[in-house]
Amino acid sequence: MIQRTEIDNNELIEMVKKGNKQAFCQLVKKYYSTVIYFLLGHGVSRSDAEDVSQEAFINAFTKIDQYKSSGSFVGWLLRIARNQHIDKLRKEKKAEISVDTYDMQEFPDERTPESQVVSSCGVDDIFAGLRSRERVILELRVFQVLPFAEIAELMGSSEGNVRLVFHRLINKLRKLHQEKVG
Amino acid sequence: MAKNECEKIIDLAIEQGNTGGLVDKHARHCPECAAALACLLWLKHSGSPTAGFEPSASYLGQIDKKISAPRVLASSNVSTGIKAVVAAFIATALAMAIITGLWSNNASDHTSKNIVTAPSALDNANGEALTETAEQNGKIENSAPIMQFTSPADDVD
Repeated sequence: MIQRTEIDNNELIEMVKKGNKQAFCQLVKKYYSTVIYFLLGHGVSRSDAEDVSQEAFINAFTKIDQYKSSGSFVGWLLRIARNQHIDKLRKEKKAEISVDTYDMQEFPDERTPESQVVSSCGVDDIFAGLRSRERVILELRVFQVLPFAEIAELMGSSEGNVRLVFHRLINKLRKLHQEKVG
Repeated sequence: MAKNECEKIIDLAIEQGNTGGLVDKHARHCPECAAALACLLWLKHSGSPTAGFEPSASYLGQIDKKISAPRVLASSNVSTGIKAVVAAFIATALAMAIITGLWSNNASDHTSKNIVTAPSALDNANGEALTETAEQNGKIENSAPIMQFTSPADDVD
């Protein structure tokens, strides 16, 4: 299943390299949610995430020749989005901090008090109960199957820290799932 | 079960799927991992938490408009264009350097020949054989009109 996705991606990327804009739109549709989610996990507001992701996609289109199929496309795309976000911060002089030195423990917890009370109704409620960084790690690890080293680089953290957070999260989810199931 | 071993099993299940007997074998003896694997399976079936996000038509339209703009299309070919210009410049510079080098080498050969022959011409003033250049110089000197002036010393008594 994963291999088939990669083949599809490579086919789309080859088409984009030949200038096929429709193929690029397919990639945008496919990875829009991941890029937005990733930016939200970095404390970017929804409207800013839309702007940054748009610039990141355009950048990816212009630099598609630089992408090497040996690496993961989503990791490459998220690196562009992260750099775009840093550039935006620098331009606006909003903050002098670098995402590279961003401590994962300091990610903002944007949950409302209501959402922090995890209900046992379904998967959406469980996700709503997670912190933004946890959701990003879950998305990148479980659904995008990125290695810990790449996630750590994207999150501006150490591999060990990401590994620790992920396995704690799995334990948390396991308990929630067990409560839900029975 | 050791914590590290459980973590390795979870990683293996994520990266390679529950295909190997190793994961099954471990899960049979570790209820925590069995529950975690069941949870992962449930998550995968439920879909990504990002599934709710979809790009709007205006978002896609803006991207399509921007990537269709000549500036973006041109910039996508900029690297290729720059490479071609740099290659042409280097080739031209190299060719010019070679031509200049050859020309200056010829010129220096010619000069050095004259420099070498000049002392030999002086040597030949002592009765030794003249070189071809010196002979030519001599012929030129002989064929040139000789202007004679009265020396101021002639007036001295």
